[in-house]
Amino acid sequence: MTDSSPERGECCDRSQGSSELSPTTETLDLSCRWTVLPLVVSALLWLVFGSLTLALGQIKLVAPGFMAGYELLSYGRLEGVTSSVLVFGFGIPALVASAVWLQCRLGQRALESALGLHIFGIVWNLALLAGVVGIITGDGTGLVGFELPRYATAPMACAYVVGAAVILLNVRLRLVREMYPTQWFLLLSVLWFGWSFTGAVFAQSLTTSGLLQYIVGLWFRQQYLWLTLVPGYLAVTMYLVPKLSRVPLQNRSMALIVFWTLVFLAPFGGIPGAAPLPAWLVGLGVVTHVLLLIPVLGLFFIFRNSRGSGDCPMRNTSEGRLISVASFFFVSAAVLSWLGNVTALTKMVDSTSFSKGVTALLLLGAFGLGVGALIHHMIPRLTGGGWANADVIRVQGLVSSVAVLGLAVAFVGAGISQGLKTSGSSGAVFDLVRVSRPFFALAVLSSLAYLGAQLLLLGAVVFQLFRSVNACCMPMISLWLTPIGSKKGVVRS
Amino acid sequence: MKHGPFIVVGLLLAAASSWSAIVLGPVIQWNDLQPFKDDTTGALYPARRPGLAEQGLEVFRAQGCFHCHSQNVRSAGVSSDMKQGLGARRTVALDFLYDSVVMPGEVRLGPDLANFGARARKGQGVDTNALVSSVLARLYNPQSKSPDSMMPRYPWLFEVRPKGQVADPLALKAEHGVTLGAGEELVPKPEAVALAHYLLSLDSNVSIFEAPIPAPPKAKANTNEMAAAGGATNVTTKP
Repeated sequence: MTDSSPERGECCDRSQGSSELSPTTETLDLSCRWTVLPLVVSALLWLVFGSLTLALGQIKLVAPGFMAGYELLSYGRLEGVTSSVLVFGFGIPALVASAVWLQCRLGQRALESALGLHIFGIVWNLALLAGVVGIITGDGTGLVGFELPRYATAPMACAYVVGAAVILLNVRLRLVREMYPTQWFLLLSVLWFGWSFTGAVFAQSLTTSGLLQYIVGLWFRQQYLWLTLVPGYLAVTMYLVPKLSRVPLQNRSMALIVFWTLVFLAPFGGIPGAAPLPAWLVGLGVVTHVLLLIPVLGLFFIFRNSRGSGDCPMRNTSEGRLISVASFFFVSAAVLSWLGNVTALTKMVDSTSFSKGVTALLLLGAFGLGVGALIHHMIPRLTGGGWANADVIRVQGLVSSVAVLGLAVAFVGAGISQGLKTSGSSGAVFDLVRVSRPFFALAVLSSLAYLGAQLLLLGAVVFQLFRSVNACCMPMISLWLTPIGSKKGVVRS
Repeated sequence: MKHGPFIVVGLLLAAASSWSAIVLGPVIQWNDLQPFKDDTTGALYPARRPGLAEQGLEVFRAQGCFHCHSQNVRSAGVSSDMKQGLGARRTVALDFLYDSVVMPGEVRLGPDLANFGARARKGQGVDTNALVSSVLARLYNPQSKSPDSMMPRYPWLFEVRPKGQVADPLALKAEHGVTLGAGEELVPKPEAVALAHYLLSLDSNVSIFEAPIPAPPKAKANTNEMAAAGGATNVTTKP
């Protein structure tokens, strides 16, 4: 049983002869151009900023004296800023932008109520900026992965509700009633983040109990990682892989299994093995991580069967290569997460940098590269022309992939070496520092490379945007600037 | 799947069950969480932190110390924390009963602080000023005591001021890498003092119902002897 969405069918049909950018797709792209592009640019700006703070933090681990006199740039605050910016600054706006464009394409309906998405973008980014300033000045909540202060999260939640409502309205108004798997996963991401984020913000504002806030923070982190960003990556994969390989999705039933197992298993994980919490809760997390291998295996088979064989066309495009690497990172993250939770490795890697490696693989590897692949694919279509320099995009994809691999190896390697040192009865903290230092040095290099790659992507997208604006507005501007007499002449001629 | 509502209802069901299990479950379980009362001494554990230590908890949060320092002694089955002397028993939720922010930490790049106060008193005595001074020196220049430490300095928690007629007892000395002009002294800001008091208040070495302190080795040997004498096990004991 295969699946071929109308948009994909259209693509396959046109690939046999005519151009893909038919008036229909052009109209669809035009309807969401000035909604999606600002969201993508803002997401990339935050990604560059997050990569910068990530690199600064890693440098401080290797050289504690680096910029040591600045309170605003202390390691503890940089860590909080990095995770907040990468998830809420890059992840969510990039997800919303992807959802809007994919929904327009797959639903075959021009974007409606774009104003709501503009409101979302403005309020979300301003509130996030306030939150980042808050963390830097010491107002963080103290919850790992959810450090944004409440005065930032409350307006962000309101803004998200508006943005999500517009997406849901567009899902409802779609012309193609049958929902393609990409749409299921987008719906999952958008709805789940809305519920979990507003739920977490609401719960935090209602209680003063530190213990309850801690558990809400743990719960919410699992929800945005596994039920917002991972489905976002899956949606992009299920759209791009069949489209690039020109093989229908293999197959819909497997996609259905991946979807529902993810929905009913992933929300129960995320409790660290040694957390000072009731044992049944920790046990639930362990069981979840074992069972999460089911959707991962499902995705593996979908990817393997849908990417075509032999001379696969996917390999010839930068987005095809990126989505393949993203899928490799996703499977690696799931396997490492399983190893870190349910095997003898648990004892060794608990409370080490290992978990940061798994998070980096999920956030920057699976989601970051997956959405990066969609940006590579989507921007030329939205701006009405191919990339100005395809080599730059190819290099950007390559450097991003290598950098994420370097970060994952650094954190996982540091975690294992720290675990080996501390699992004995006399593991001294300073031995731990010594064994970790080479890995942290690798993390510095990788984070700098990642920063460079994202700067390159931002530059390319901004240039593409500028070119598009230029092509669209310059004839009009030059017409306005032409003296009236000669303008008549132009008209006459 | 053709119908969005079907997906939405399924998602809502899954989200509600996750919220109920992970968030509501512990809330119900902790609803009657009360301090543990030691029957022999009548002492309650945990006690509320003194005001200065409570302020120090906020400084600990604001500086992001939890990104490197855990406050979580793991059980003997899954770690060697207790063997390393990080604590006499595993950390449980009750240890954080009165804390407005709970920061057990997830990555341990520096020493675990769950029993920092207990360890400091064991090593350096009970003179509070001396203990606070020692913590402050570490905050100002961690490498002065441990050259290999990767802990960053916190100079913004201190200020230089002219020496008064009476020297500040907490002023840092030259041995901590302080270089000052004549007639000046480096004194901690109130945040630094609060943070030091908070760290020194960390002591969870109290045997409680859900996490009793394991019997000391000597008592264990006696148990083994009794068991051997009764023929219940084949544990060999010293003659």
